[in-house]
Amino acid sequence: MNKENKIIDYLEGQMSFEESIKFEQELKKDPVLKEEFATYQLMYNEVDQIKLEKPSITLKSNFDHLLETEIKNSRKTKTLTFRNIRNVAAVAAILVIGILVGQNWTQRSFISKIDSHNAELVSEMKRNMNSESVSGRIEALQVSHQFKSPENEVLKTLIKSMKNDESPNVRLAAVEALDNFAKEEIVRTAFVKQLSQEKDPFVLIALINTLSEQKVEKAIDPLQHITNANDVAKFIKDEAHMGLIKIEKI
Amino acid sequence: MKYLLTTIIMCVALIAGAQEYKVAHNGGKLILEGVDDVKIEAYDGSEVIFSINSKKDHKESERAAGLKPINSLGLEDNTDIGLSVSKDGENLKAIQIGQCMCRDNEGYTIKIPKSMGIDYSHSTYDSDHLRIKNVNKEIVVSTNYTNINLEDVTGPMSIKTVYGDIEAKFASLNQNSSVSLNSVYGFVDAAIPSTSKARLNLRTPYGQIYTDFDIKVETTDGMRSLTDKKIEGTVNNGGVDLILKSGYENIYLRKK
Repeated sequence: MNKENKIIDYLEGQMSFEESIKFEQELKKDPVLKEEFATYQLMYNEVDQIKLEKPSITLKSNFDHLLETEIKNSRKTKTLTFRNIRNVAAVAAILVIGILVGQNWTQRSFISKIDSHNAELVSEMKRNMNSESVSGRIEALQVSHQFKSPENEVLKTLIKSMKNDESPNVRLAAVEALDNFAKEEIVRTAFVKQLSQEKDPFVLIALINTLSEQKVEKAIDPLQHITNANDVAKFIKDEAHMGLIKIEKI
Repeated sequence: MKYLLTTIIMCVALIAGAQEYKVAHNGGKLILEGVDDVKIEAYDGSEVIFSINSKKDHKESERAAGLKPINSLGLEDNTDIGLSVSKDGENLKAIQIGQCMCRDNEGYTIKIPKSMGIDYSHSTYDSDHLRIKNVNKEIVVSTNYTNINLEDVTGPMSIKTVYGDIEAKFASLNQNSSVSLNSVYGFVDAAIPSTSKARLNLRTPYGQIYTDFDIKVETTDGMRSLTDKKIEGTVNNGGVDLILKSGYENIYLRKK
């Protein structure tokens, strides 16, 4: 019996009492054997500590069948030995990998479903933004409320509406929808730019309110420009002045 | 006898200073730009009828004799009631030329076919009110100072005014598209049938929200966001978007 078989038999309790005593004495004398034994012992401990995820019924059934076949083929002992444990470990590893891949696939599938749902929403939003009806376009913008985190395409669509829609009512709805994502730099920059381009008083007030509540310092210059402009209504100037106070830079 | 009655009515109308302008139109929308103090009502007909009670003392000055008033776009009064009316695709467009010829705050009364929607915009102090009644098509309003009163309407609609109050009494709530009522400095008061299905977005940073509806407040991860300044939720299990917002005043959502 070679060293490896001895170690395995000892660790698996296959030796008689006398054989065990003799093996232990050899261990004390032979440092190489001792070192090899320690390695095997460590491996056994690690195998014992492997915690397997609960497999699906199908996977478990396949595994049992495979294990049974393997045991039948071995024929050497009725008990599982380390020699075929390598095979079993390989199967177990495949099993674990399978479970992990399965879990990962399930997560990916879930994320994929969310992505797909979001893509449908964005697509619906863009499609309805072509509506000739003002309230239809406003309703399309309301879809953005379903996004808890900012989607790039959603932000782009909202910003495009804020800048280009011919109806001030739709532009106002776009600003209000973007207000939910006002912490995003792209939104803040678009708001600041729109301050100097927007002509509708209500939309301007909405822009000023959001920028001042968010304390966007980039808005200070355009707000000061509004407070000094000759062609701007007094109530807008008042709002701009209040906005500057809120940003605490006046 | 019939002719006598007609003659009498015409005489009374002339004495009262009533003037009318009619144009056959169906479908599309009536676009009104800068028209003061308008009352609009939908009716079962196929003409748009503009009428006005002129000021008794409304006369063109001798210096303007033979000249026509025009506006900044070069448009002129082609109705003799101070409006430039023209077809604009499938729509009918009316722009007020100069100051309103109407008596104090009486403004224009306009009857439109039920097939028409409305797009009204006004930016100056000169229009105190806009009243719209019995219109089932889309209504779009954008004003700075005008108070808006809507009666027996259904939506869809988008109403915004900077200083005006908004009062709306809905006959029903159309489920095809959104209804939004926005005022910066005025209150928003909407009365809808108690069975109306709606997804609500109510917001007033400096005002108070009042309602007699049982609103189901939206939850995020099982948590309800409770604030008296901003409410998102549903009534009757949700439906069309109903958006009521005021910057500084109260919002009232009541059962009709």
